[in-house]
Parts: sequence; structure tokens; C-alpha cells
Amino acid sequence: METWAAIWKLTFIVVMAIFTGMSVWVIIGGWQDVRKLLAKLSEDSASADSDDQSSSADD
Amino acid sequence: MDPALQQALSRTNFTGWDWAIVAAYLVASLAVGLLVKRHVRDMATYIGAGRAVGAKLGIAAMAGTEMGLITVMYSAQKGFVGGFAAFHIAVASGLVTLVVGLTGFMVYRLREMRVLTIPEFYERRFGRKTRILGGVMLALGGILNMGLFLKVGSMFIVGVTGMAADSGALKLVMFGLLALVLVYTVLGGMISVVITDYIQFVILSAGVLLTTAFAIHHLGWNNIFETVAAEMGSKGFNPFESEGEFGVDYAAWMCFLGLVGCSIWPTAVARALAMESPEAVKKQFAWSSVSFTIRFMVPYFWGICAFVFIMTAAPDLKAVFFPENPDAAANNLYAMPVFLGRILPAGLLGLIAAAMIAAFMSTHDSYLLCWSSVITQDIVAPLQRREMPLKSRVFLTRVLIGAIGVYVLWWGLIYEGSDDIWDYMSVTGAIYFTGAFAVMFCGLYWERASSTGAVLALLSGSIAILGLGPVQEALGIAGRFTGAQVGLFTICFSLVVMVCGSLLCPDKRDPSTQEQPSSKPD
Repeated sequence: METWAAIWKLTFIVVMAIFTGMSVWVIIGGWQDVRKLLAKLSEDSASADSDDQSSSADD
Repeated sequence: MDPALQQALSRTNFTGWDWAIVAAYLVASLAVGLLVKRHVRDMATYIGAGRAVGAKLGIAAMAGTEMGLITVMYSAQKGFVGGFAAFHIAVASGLVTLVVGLTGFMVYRLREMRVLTIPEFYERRFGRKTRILGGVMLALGGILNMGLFLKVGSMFIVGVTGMAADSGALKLVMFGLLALVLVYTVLGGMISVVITDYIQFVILSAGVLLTTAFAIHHLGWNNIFETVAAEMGSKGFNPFESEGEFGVDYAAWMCFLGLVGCSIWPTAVARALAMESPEAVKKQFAWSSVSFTIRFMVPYFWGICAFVFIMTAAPDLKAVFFPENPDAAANNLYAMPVFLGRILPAGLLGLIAAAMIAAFMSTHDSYLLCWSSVITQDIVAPLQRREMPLKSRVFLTRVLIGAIGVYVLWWGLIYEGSDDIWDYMSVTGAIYFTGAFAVMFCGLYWERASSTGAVLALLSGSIAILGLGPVQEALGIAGRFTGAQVGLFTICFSLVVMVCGSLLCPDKRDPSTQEQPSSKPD
């Protein structure tokens, strides 16, 4: 029982430590990804709108 | 509700400030849903966020989806009854996800094929009939699986806020949460889902770390282990002990659940398919192994802490959860939220409640979007004679989101089954994923896999329903097999029929028209 208790103690501490570090990394990097995603979608919307307008003009 | 339980649940540190924190979060979520609505131009954007999600945002979104309130609740229940031995499930889940991330097992090839859903893969590999059958099995298992999400999630809110003193509060909370999640899922699709998942990750990670630290500080690190040892003995630590909650077959079943949970379960795969490249998928899964471990381990720990608190510091709760007559015991799903309501200070409680509501919404929006889009894309659209217009697809998907939401509310109100929540979920999910594992594994890695084998494997997944307690009782086989044993048998059987069906009835296709996963970089 002592061995299992030691294994779970160690596992819990290591996982929580990794999670803490990863959280900081993902929060910072994720915010940059959100901005990129919104910029790309805005760009796609703008280019689709301009395509619509040019095809209307061609008609 | 029992008056003693009612009184026990009404004691909480939750205040008006906590409600203000929760309200601020909910307003912010709705605002995000409204803001991103203008970006939805087509089905790929609505379901797959335009395949433009970066790796770190993908990790946050994956964690946001997979650490739902339902996961927190059923995991806390497992920790409460099984002690530290339940940790093996978290470790198995994390290790398997890490292996998937390092090797790209299945998800890499799926992303290379640029499919939007798993049944779409079925069609490209095995034909339209397989896609429709796969969609039906997927929607059936998935919608049944989420049937209790709303009720169990609402039990947390009721428990942590002390509202359980009012017997009608649970239904009101169920209505309120459902309305909220339906509004912004319908509005924004996958874009709002991904972004709210990110917001949830920020709140949830802070809340998880603070609450865990607070629980340890309140109870004492050594006291937690000593109390579990004194009350549960070695079965509270050793997952393979046959007299405990688990056992060898259960651990094997958990390893398989860990594999399908990250590589086949559609909400997780949807995250992979929304990534910007196959390489980003591998990175996403490798890092998500940490959050796949945490999503189980932290709630187990909270459940264990609730057990220790009740056994050592709360005699009123001990009388409610462990009465002399075991049949009169209160539903132990309430143990963890009541524990948090008593030990966390005002302010932090609001943060945790907001994080959990965020977790609830994040899971619901992903699941609602997933199952509704499967019905639209993989069942209804393939059955149409003409190409279904995009506007009609988005409209139908939104209508189905509402319909599934109503079902979840109805099922939560009427279902009175005595199954353990985790067992209910694993069995209902297995209806889909046992057959799907055989079909996807063979379809991606075995050239001779045929549509006959795929259909047989998908159908054989329905054997898994024999693992449900009420079904076993109806058939007179109650207690003869555990859910884990039925699940393991179903996987083996599905693989056997997939192989036999493929060998006996190979497909007659023109090799030039057969689509295989591309090996070219995206």
C-alpha cells in the first residue's frame, strides 16, 4: 500500500507541475492564435465580399 | 428531498459577489457568440472554424471540451468511492493520448484526408451506405451518451450554491443553462466554440490550481492519504485489487477508453480536423495528454478530499452520505460540490462556479454541434437526391441543436436509472466507438478492409448495450458480466467481424477511383 501511495503522490505532483507550466504557455500562445484566427477569417470574409462585388460588376 | 440532505446542502460560502462573477462570465460568453457570428460564411467555417486553428489554441480548445462539468462530476464520484486507485484511469488516458500525439495514430491520416467528420471518412473509404449507417450509430450512441449531462451538471451548480434547499431549483437551473448554451452554439458554430473553449481554459486552469491548493491547505496533505488508508485500506490505492472498485479487466477497459476518447470520439476528432495541418494535430495531441490526465486526476482528487472532509470534519454530512442504513444514503454526486461550497471562500467560489459553468457550456456546445452536424452531413444530406444547399445545411444543423437540447432536458427530467454515471456513459458511448474503432483502424491501415466488414463491425457495436444494468436485468443476466467485460468483448468481436467480413466479401472497386489517405504534406 505504501508503494502505491508513493506512486500516486509523485504522479499527482509531477502532473500538476506540468499542467501549471503548460497553462501559462497555452494561455499566452492561445491568445496569439485567437488573434490570428480572427484576422484570417476577416481576411477571408473581405476577399469573398470583393469577389462577390467583382462578379456582380462583370454581370 | 430528505430534510437532512436539504439542510446539509444549504450550508455554503457562496455569496452575491460570487453570483456577480458568474453573471459577468455568462455575459462575456454571449458577447463572444454574437461577435463571431459574422464570420460564419459556409459549412467548413461553421463546423471546422475554417481549418485555421493554431496548435496552442487547439490545445486550449481540446482541454476546454474534454474537461466538462460532467467529467468533473463523475470523476469526483469515482474518487469519492474508489480513492487514489481511481488515478490509474487518469494515467492511462494521459499515456494513451501521448502515444497518439507522438505517433499520429489515426488522427494524422484523418486530418490528411481533409474530412470534416468521421462518417465522411467512412464514405470516402467504404461508400455512402457505410457513411449513413456510421452516422446513425454515431448519433445514437452520442445522443444517448449526453442524455444525463444537463442534470448532472445542474446538480453541481445547485450543490455548490446551496440552492438545493429549494426543491425546484434543479429544474430551473437545467432550463437556464440549456437556454444559454443553445443561444451561442446556434449563433456561432465552431468559431465561437473554439474561442469560448479558450476563455474557459483560462478560467478553468486558474480555478483548478487554486481550488486544489486550497483543498490541500484545508485538509492537510498527509491527512488526506492517512484518512484514505484508514477508511479504505489498500483498495483505496491499488487499482488491481480484485476486492476494490476496479480490477485488471477494468484497467484494460480504461486503457481502451483512453484511446478512443482521444482518437475516435468525435468531439476530440473534430478538434483535430479543425487544425491548420496534420503536424499541428500531432503537437496538439502530445500536449493535450497533460490535460487529458488532469481532467480526470484533479476531480478524482477533489472527490477524495470530499471523502476525507466528510469522514473527518463534517459529522452532519457523514450522517447524510454514510447513514446506518446504506439504502438511505444521499446521492454521492453531491459530495464534491457541497465540499467545495464549505471550504472555498467567497470570490473563489464564484470563480470556480464560473469555470464549471464554462466547462458545462463548452462541453455542451461541442457535443450539440457535433451530433447535429453528423445528422445533417452524414445522414440527411447523403440521403438527398440533389446536393443539399449550404444554407439548408446550416439551418438544419441549428434546428437539430435545439431538438437535441430539448431531448437532453427531457431525458434529464425523466431518467431515474440507478447506473453509475461513468458506467452509463461508457456503455452508451461504446455502442458507437467499439465498432468505429474496428472500422477506422482497418480502414486507415489495411488495404483489404471492405464495406461489408465495416457494416458488420458498426452493427456489432450495439452488443455493448448489454453492459447496462437495466438491460441486463431485463434479459435476466444481471451480475454475470461487468460493463468492462462486455465492452472488451465487443471490441474483439467488432475486429473479428471486420476482418472476416472483409476477407469473405471484398469490395469490387476500380483502384483508380479508390481514395486513400494522401501522404503529401498539407
